[in-house]
Order: sequence, then structure tokens, then C-alpha cells
Amino acid sequence: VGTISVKVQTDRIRLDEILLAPVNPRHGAQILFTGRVRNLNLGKAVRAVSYDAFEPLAEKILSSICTDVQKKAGELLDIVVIHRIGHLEIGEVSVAVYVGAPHRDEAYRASREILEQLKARAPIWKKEHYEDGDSEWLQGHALCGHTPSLEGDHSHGSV
Amino acid sequence: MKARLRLFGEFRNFTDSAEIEVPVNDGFTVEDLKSQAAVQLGKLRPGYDLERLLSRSAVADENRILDPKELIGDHRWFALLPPVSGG
Repeated sequence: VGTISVKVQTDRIRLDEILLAPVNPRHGAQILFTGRVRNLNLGKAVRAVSYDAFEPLAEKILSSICTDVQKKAGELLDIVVIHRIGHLEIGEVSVAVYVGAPHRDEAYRASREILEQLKARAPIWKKEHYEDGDSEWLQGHALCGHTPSLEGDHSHGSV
Repeated sequence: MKARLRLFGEFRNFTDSAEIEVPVNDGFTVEDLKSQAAVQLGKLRPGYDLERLLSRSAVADENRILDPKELIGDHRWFALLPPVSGG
């Protein structure tokens, strides 16, 4: 059985630490997806983003998502999911999803599935701060009765 | 009796505080709790389309999202979760 590590944190995400962690010798594929804060969303110039989360539940839901994806893939996957909260500038990494797997196909699939589920189910919110001085909490997926789609959405530029 | 309801996302625009208190009793369902929250939040931001936002919002505790029909019992601390936008 592979490993799962999930974290919601204010500290900067250390991509080097994720990539330098020991690799399962049965794994021939590694995917590290990063989402970054983009400077444009729906035509508005964005200067920064603030993330907030209901941390205890967010980490439980992210763990549950990873467990489900791991089971579906045959339980050999190693998974790391880290989501930033707090104030992020343009270009900073807001989310990292690492998947180690025996083969590339299951790694790609698992990475995508985890990210789409995260966006649809994790109690995390982003507030965009615009160049014109305005700011707005984005409202994406309702947590009551929503079925996430693999196609995802494009409501924010970074992910 | 009162319950504390922690606020997130768009609900943070209703008050400088991170939570509100709403009157409850043991026979309340989660839906009743939301109705009480609607009364409190409506006073804080008159004119806002609160009904739409609340209809798309869930109530949770630290372990799970709660069913609207379930009783709150002696639980007195909740989180009000508007549509999420992580990633």
C-alpha cells in the first residue's frame, strides 16, 4: 500500500522537499502538479489572492479523496497534497499534488482526479484582490449535493 | 441557548468577526440552524441576496458535512460553508 500525506498550511510550499523525498522503487512515474496564482481571471487584472480554509475538515476531505483515488488505482500510489492558505502573490504556488505510481497512465489519471475533487469538495476559499482596488470571494462549487466533473472548471486562472 | 457558527468565504463580508451566534435548542435540525443564521446575517447585510447564497451553503462540524434534516442535539459549534473555490 502506498502512502498519503495531506496538509493545509500557511507556509510556502517546498516543491524541492516533495521531489527529493524517497521514491518507491516500484514507481516508474512521478507527477508533480502545481497550481499558481495567475494575474488575470475572467478579464480582471489580479494582483494577489487570499486563501482561507476550514482546516480540520479540509484535511479530512482531502485524505478521503486521496484514499478513494488510491483504492481505485490499486493502492500502490504515493500521494502528497498540499494547499496554501493566507496571502499569496502572483506566481506563488497555491496547491501541489504529487503522485508516484508504477506507470504514467495511473499517475496522470490520479493527479487529475485528485485536483478536480479538491476543487469541488475541499472547504477552501479564495479571495481575489484586483489591480483596481476591488476584491471578491469567489464562489465555485456548492458542498450540498454537487457532483464533481472530471472536466473541471476554469473559474480561476491558476488551476 | 446559543450556537456558534464560524464563517468562511463570502460570509466573511457580513461581519468583521469570524463567527456569529444564533439562538438554538436541542430539537433544532441543521436546516433550522440555517434559518436562524439567515435572520442574524440578514441584519448584518441588508439587501444582499442571502437566500441564494444560503441555499448553496452547507453546515459542517470538524468531521463532516451535516445533513440538513439531522438534529443538532447538544452540539453548539458549527461552520457555515459557502460554495468552495480552492485550487
